[in-house]
Amino acid sequence: MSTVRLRCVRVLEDRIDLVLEADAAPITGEVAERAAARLLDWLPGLVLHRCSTDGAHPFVEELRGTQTPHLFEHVVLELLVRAGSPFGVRGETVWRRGEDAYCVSIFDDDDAVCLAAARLALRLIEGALGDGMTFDIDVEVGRLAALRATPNGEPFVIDPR
Amino acid sequence: MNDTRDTALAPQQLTVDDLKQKVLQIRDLAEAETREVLQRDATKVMAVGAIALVAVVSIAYYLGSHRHRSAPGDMM
Repeated sequence: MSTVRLRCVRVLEDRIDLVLEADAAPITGEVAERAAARLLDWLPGLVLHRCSTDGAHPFVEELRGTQTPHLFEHVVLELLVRAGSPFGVRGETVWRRGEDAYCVSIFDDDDAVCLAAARLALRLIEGALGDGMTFDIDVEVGRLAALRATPNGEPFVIDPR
Repeated sequence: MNDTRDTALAPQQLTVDDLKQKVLQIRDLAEAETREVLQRDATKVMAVGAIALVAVVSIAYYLGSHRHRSAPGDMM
């Protein structure tokens, strides 16, 4: 089973960087098919996601053959959107050939929600890749949304600087 | 009784030795100048070399890294 582990987190002004350890090889075959089906069942909004790897295209084209951290990035973005973030949130996954560390940057609108979304995304991916786990996704997303510092407000409006 | 002396100097005559001396001074000056210019150029060459090295390393790093850019909708 492909595993993914969070190595460290950097909360920056415009984004959160999450450094992950994961297999360098993309997940493929039956595991990828099963994981894709489960993730789409939990988060149907993933079909709307776009990727710019080798030209812009729908993420579903990569869903069954990409690296786990890239999957993680999209799951975090979808959880953010479900928890009330605007569609303008975006992400980036950077890695170096032959290394097992990936840097996933999420350009978020609320750091607390983003960090909680990252933790939930790790659990969802573990569940999707593993033997199966049940999630009440609406309850989980509700918990994320409750963390939002400025519900229905402008981001950074509470920043005194 | 007054003791007077004529202190006025007679105009100096330029000798061959004087000329030799001048030539040697000019040569020394030219050598010093050349050394300074060469040193300055060496520093310049080293600076350009360092910049080129940094550029090559940066390009190598960029080419060796990979990235996915993603968005949840059609906002890319």
